[in-house]
Amino acid sequence: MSAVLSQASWSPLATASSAPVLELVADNKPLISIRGLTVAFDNGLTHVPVLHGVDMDIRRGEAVGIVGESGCGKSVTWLAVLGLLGSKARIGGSVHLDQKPIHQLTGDQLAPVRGKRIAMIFQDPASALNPVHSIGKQLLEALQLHRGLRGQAARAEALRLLDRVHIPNPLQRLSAYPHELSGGTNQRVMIAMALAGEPDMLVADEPTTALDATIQAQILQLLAEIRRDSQMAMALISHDLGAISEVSDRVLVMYAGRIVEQSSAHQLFGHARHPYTRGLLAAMPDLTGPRRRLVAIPGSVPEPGRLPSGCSFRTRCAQADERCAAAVPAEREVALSHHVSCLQTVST
Amino acid sequence: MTDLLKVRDLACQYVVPVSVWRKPVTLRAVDGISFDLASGKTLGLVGESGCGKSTTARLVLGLLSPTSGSVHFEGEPVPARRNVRWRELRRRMQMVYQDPLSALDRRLPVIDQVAEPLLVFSQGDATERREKAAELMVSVGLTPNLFDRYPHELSGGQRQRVVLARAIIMRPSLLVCDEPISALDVSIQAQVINLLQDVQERSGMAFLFISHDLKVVRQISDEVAVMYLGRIVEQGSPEEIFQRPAHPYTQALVSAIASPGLRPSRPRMVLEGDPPNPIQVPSGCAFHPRCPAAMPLCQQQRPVLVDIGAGRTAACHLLTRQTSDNAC
Repeated sequence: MSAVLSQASWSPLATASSAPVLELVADNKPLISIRGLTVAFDNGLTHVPVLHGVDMDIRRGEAVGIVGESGCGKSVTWLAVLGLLGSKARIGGSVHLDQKPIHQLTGDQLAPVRGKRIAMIFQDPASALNPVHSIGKQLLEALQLHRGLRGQAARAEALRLLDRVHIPNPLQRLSAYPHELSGGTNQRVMIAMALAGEPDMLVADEPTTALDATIQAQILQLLAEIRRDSQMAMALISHDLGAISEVSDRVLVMYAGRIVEQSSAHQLFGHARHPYTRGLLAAMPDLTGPRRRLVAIPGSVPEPGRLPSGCSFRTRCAQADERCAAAVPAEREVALSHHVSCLQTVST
Repeated sequence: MTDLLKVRDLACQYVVPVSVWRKPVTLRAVDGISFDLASGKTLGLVGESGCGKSTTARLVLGLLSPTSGSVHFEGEPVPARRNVRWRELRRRMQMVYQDPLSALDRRLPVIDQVAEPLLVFSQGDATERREKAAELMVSVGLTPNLFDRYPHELSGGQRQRVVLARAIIMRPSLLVCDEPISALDVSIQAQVINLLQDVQERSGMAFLFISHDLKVVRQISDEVAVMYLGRIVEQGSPEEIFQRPAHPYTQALVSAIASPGLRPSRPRMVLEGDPPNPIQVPSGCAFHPRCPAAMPLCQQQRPVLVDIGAGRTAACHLLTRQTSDNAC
């Protein structure tokens, strides 16, 4: 075993959040364009709305971080796009992939999109992998399905992919089962499988949440490296603002089924405008600087189906007044490419 | 002042069967750790999964009996068996778990659960118990309309408040918190951290606070111990440990933490490989296969915790070599 310290400099991706890159891709048509996406779940009695009209554009090669607390709809958005929500879900709105509508497609018609165009990795790699098949078999299956590779060609490609995600001894690992590998290695296998279809976009749903701190850093570095090399678009879903800030060009903040703020990562973490985003940042303890008492957001996230009228955040917001109860605040641009849905938008 | 909790050379080993055909192996979950905790103070234990944090918590409370070493609580040894004396001690040492839903009884209104320790230790009559529980629940920020609800009718943050109220109703002098906020949302975590700090200020309770989240540990601790594979590798004040980590493992751990909007001044240190299996602990320093600065000595000899100044101890050959070089 060799001890290697990769003294990689601060993720070049993180610095890519500055304006030039955005301008470079600004005239491109979006890779994926989501308009007015709504999702409601049938609970037997009524339809409980969980997503209230989400608009989102992601360009080729762009890394978008989606942050929010549990139940805010950050995962449901992508499960709805990929048709993975099952029959209890009622989905509205439109989704265009390369200007082609994919929201009318159902079941098997979406199969060529899943994995091949948009791949997804999940929080718990051990439960996303099949425990009774070796990882080699699962990788070969993905390669055959998406790229029609078989035999030696598929095997060689599988080895290349395992090497690509920096798994040591890939040849031996092909015959290993998920339970024989650590959480971090399993997540690398998931990423390798996601790359098998050479997708245009990777959706990573809390990819580091179940992992230890030092392993989280490894996986974030790997995702950043893959995106840099392949120019794949990426949506990173996380509740961890630190992880988001590291990999994303642009950040969307979701609350109770709506996007409440979006801007470049740099702008958002320096000059957040929505009271919820500011609250999240103030609620986080820090590793440096003087210790201060944390400023908690009072109350808890409202249950879907029991949202307050108007702005969903108003019952927890210190600045809310009667105007906030009247109507859901419309999105407005407060700075270049910085959109906030709040009537009270705080100036910085 | 004597320490509330005194832990000396505490070790816990499990014998784990590997397969039917092979000899069982020994897993050293905790491998000789020592620490003290004064009343009203907080000791944070950090480390990755499998480093022995939770086993330490269970050993301290006497829920597990140690293979060797000792735990003294308020000057008395914590009995290895669950006898009358252990039950008497347990009244003054309580625990808060990670997942409040599984720590609560789903079929009992929460106020009855908060009052239950009083019933167990036969204190007061039913009305008094309920009054006392209600008073405490208000003090941890639960409103009276929630008292008769069942755990599933509460939010995660409210459930953790119930668990906390139940843990402190006997006025313990030590509260062991095992990842108490990991299962909560970001906005709720801050509420619970603030509540824990308020409770400590009001009651002078000591906390043994276990977490993998360095930022939370820094926020709440007076002293921090970093564990790796069953041993403490560095211990000191949170400011010292997180500003100037001395042990290479602590350095990597601190470096792995991403802060929103902050670009680190130093290049980031990303460790290769996974933490080794505690069944096959590497020879010498357990960290040497992942350590960027490992020397031949590290494979042969296990470093001991030494004082490195500013009230800090660390177990690393690099640090002892430097001090002996200086002495020459």
